[in-house]
Amino acid sequence: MIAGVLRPLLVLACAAAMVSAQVTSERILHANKEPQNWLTYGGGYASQRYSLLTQLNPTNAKDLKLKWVYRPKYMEKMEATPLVVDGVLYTVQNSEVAALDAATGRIFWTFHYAVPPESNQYVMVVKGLAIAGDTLFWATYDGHLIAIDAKAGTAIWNKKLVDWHQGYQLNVAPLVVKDKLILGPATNEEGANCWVAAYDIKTGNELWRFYTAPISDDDPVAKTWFGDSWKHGGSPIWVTGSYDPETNLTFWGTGNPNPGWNGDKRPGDDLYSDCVVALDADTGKLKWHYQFTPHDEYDWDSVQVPVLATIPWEGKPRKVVLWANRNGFFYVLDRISGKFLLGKAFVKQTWNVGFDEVGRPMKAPGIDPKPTNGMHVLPGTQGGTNWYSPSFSPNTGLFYVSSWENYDAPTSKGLIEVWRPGGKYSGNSRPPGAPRRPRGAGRGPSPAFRTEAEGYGAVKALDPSTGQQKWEFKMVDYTESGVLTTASDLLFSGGKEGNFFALNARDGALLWHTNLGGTVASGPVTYLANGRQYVVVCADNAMYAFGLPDGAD
Amino acid sequence: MVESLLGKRMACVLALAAAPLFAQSGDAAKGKAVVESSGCLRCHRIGENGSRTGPNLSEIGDKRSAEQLKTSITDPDAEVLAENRFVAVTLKDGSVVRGRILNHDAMSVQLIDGKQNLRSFLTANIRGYTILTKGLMPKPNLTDEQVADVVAYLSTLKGTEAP
Repeated sequence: MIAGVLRPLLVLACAAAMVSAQVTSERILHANKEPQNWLTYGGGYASQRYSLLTQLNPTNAKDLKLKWVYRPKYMEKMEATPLVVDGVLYTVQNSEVAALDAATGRIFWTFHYAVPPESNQYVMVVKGLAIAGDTLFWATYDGHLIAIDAKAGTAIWNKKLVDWHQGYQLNVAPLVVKDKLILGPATNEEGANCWVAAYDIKTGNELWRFYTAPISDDDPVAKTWFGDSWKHGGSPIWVTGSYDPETNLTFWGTGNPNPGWNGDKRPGDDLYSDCVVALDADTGKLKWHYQFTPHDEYDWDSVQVPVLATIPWEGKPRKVVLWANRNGFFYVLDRISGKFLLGKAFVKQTWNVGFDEVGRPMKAPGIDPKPTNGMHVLPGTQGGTNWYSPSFSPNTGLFYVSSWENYDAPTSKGLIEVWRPGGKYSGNSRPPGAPRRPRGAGRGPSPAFRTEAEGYGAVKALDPSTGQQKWEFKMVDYTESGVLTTASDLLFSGGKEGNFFALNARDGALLWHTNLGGTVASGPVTYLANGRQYVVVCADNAMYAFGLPDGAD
Repeated sequence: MVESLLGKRMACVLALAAAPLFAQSGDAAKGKAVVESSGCLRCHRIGENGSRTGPNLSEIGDKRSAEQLKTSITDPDAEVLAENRFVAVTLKDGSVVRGRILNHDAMSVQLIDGKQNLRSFLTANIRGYTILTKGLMPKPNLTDEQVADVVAYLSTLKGTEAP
């Protein structure tokens, strides 16, 4: 009787409590205490994409089976890293956010927002969401920041941060730090000067802003450009940064200067393009910066995810930032001072002959491109890696990165366009009479026929103390997939071939694979639902979840 | 050796084409006879005739200039298009399967073999494979006049329109 009434109520209450627990700042700070969830883009403030879950391991990985597929009604490519909070998985395409049951893939709700296609002429893809309290945050491609009720799937507020008509977009997953959302706009070769900024979680009001390209002649870094070239310097933000609670610093990578392929109008270093900037999370004040590619004319955005780690360095533990850059070099920087500790190529490269004592790269003679000469450079414009999230495993002590090896592409320095708001400002326009580049010439033959010497994709394992490669897992085609590692020494990744695979993180041995029929261009994540470990990844425009068969240990 | 698959007698054509003057200097009818009598069709296919193992020449006159066609006959290794590459797959027992490569990825390789079979091998089940970019076609023993005739013939191959 009474007991019979109370029991269902209690069960309901417990279930509700589990689902409704708010994602507090404290929870995000200690995300490693709840490995059943995936609370931030990088799997925690250090962005290591390393999970403490061990239910899946190198012994049983061969038994992984498809558990569910989520195919949104929109055909847009999915590159977002999902969030998982207490059994609910949140993901996003360019026009829709969805909340799914993490165990079955069934939809709780969807939230649609129509992004004008004209705002996304390059068909770029949103990278993810953020969550704080019971609110999801979505930075849309047309420049809006939308707060969404995580339970109801309804908008709480919608704030326009930037005007896409002026050449701005938003596609980054915001980073929640205390009461702030940290993010910045991108400009897709449109010469709109960008920034990293903090916005109030409750209102979306801006709290601080750090410009990654100058906005006035008075800015000391304007001198690192030339004349008024700083006015359209770009330096976009399009991949999420990291946060170090000990120093209260947030680290962000910045994109290439504009015009990207022709630096003749900006003959200086062009700060803060192609940098990592370490900012005080409360004020946005710059603590230090390091520029990976001064005066870039190769499109080597430094928007890789800053991976924070403590590694052995000269016999002592050292707090560092690990960074495999699009320019083909793996860097180790002191996290507190920004001091350059190591720069070592992780793919074949031809542009750099070394570093000076402060870590400034020394360009190889004759490597500066000239209009129409199509000089070949290694790595090519897509780089040794790009935005794909790497991983660091404290268990193996190795850093893992998706890479493009033997990737050789001609420079495409051309004419500089007349700047206009929202117009192309890339510096690679074809001069009159110049021959058109063959389609696809920069990436060699089709991967169906490609030899290793003509380029291949790989997951590489690097020793961060030396930059030495420990192993590599080769693919035929290149890869845009992120990397996930676990405390059981599993590594998950994929590539453009459509393969999604598990490797032994210690030696790169292939343990399991499946083909998903479309490019894997997202970062896999892992979580628990109903006590079972899942790993999910997106391929093309669908999300796939894998786990052990029902009844398996 | 790739030649063992293709056969040294298979003096064939491939890929490439010539200044119109060169093409015009040959006799297409004679060239057709040379192609049909010299073993070219043991690898190549023209229309409904010949093998699918080598490159299909049915529309080669649209794709390659006469000069390119001449070069592909007299110097077959000068330019081999990526889609015409071959692959040699070494099986676990040491035997080798060769054919034109159709696809490959981290896990497998696909080809069409000398008997026109579509075959797929998991890399886990083989010793390895090598993509062959040269030595795919023996240089045919043809006179300059015969080469001109063959080029003239190949230049006429423009495919057929669907009914």
